[in-house]
Amino acid sequence: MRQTFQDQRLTPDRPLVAIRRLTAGYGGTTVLHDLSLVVQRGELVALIGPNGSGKSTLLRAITGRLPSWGGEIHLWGRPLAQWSVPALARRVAVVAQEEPAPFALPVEQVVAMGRTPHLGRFQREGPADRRKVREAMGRAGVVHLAGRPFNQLSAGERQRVVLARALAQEPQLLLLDEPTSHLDIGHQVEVLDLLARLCREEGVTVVAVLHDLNLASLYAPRLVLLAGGRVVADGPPAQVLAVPILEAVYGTRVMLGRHPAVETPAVHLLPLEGGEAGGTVQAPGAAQEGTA
Amino acid sequence: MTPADLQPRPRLSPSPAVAVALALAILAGAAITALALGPAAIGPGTLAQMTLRRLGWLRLEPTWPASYEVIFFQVRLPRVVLGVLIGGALGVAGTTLQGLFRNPMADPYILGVSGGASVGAVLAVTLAPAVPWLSDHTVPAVALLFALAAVVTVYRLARVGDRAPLTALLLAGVAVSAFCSAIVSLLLTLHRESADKALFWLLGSLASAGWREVGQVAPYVAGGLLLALAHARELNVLLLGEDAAYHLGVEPERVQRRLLFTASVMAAAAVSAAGVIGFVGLIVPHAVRLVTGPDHRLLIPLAGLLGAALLVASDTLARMLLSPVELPVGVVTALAGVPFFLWLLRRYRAGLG
Repeated sequence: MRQTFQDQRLTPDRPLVAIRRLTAGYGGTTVLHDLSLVVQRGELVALIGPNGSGKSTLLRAITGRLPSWGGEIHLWGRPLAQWSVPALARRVAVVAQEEPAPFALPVEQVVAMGRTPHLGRFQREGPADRRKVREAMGRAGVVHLAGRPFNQLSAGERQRVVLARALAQEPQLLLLDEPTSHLDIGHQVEVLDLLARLCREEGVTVVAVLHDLNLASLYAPRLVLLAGGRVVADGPPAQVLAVPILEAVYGTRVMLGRHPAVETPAVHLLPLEGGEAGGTVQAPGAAQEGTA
Repeated sequence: MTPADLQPRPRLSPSPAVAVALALAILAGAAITALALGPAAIGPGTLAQMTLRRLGWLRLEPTWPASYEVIFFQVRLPRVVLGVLIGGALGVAGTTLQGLFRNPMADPYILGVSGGASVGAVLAVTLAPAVPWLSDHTVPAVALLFALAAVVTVYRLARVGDRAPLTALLLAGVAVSAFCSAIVSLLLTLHRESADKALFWLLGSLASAGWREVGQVAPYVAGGLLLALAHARELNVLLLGEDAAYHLGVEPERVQRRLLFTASVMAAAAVSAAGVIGFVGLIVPHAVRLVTGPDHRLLIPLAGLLGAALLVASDTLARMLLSPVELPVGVVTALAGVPFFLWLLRRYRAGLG
């Protein structure tokens, strides 16, 4: 483990998340190599990158669920080790990809568990807690599911219930691991609109792993591209979504376009066989095949 | 897919107060029946008069034979109280472990409690003639000691770093239990003369109940119940998985460790006093969960009350069915339990198909 003393450069402006030379992994496999990343308060950051590039691992390391092997993580200027698990849960909420649902808990109760870190051991949820739970369910669009057993919902419905639970937690930092992976396009837009609004209107800092590069480009002012456990590009979509970078990282050919309405970069895939040879040609008007 | 994905029925949702009151009424009914029934049938009215007179709240000349008082206060009452404590302990321990393992097939003995206790009890019974300080009264203490040793062994076998993965715990529990049952068989083969006594213990029985046993078991049951209730919310959160629990402020490994030991100590205390009584800790939590849903804040008290009621009722049957021959109560609970277990398996299979 690398021993470094408190880094003064990290504390003065107190970024919400400051990661310096982080190394972490599972068993004998190193997943994150010497990774550094700073996220400021109120940012909406999309983590992108191919499968196995360390996106989920990074989220797990930020909350301390996965112990890091080296490097430093500071949250709100304080080293991660100084945060107790409940104190962290009062500020940070996580929406994971999949959760087990073995017993038939009603949806409303699952969402109400978001209040857990705010309650004492023998304290029951009060009217204020119940109001926050209903509000969170409204925002995530799951009010109509309130009485349904969690384990009988579709994957997309579960995803929105878990999001509602995270909102009920009233986090200042919201970490999401592919929150839209099971959602139809209507719900994808709803969820990302909601995240953007949380960020803009309530100052919640959002870090979301997104697979859909076009969705990331459309909503996130900042993209962080991971590959092989390292940050290979970090900046606005126009800078990160460049053909040479994407082709090198994802190992497939892409074409870049522009979103016809909002002018953000749009990534088009090229089939390996039968597609027209074209390479890195900019194709402004060729966006009729829907999302990737 | 896990076994309990398969609870498709919409469930009645009685209000918590009503549910607890109902369970209390069932327990009271079972207890009064148990106190009244026996070779000497004592009516509920007489039971009430004897109790009030003993408490000094009622002055009256006894209209009943003096032997009734002995039967009631020295024989039946401690037996019913012990049944309540042990049935309650098994219900609560079973609920806790089913919640922790997120598996409705888990029971209070899953971490080797019954195996360890059996080895201890059989050792004590077989060695008693040869060792002066071993008597029938020391059997529970030895059984408790061995039960706890088995749990610690299972935990240590399963531990990786500061965590003990649940599947590793299950496997270690199975292995230690199998090992223990081999030792029990070996001991009984070598010492056939103590087989009768040992067998009665192995099948579970409240026949040796007295106030002394009640006093030995009560602290463990009370402490365990309080700890389990205090962690009801954490148990609910853990149903969502370890990672989600962590992110809701619950340290999964710490809560799991605490509750594994709480439940196992409760089960060990129960087993040490009355032998291995099966199925109470498996059936009751599952049945209650089917009706009320998986909220542990309600599940734990209800499973405790109904576990107590089931054991007291089963014990009454065990005494009465072939009276004056007494059946081991474990046989009665198993006879009632196996059909239920098969029904559970059928549901499980139907859900997978």
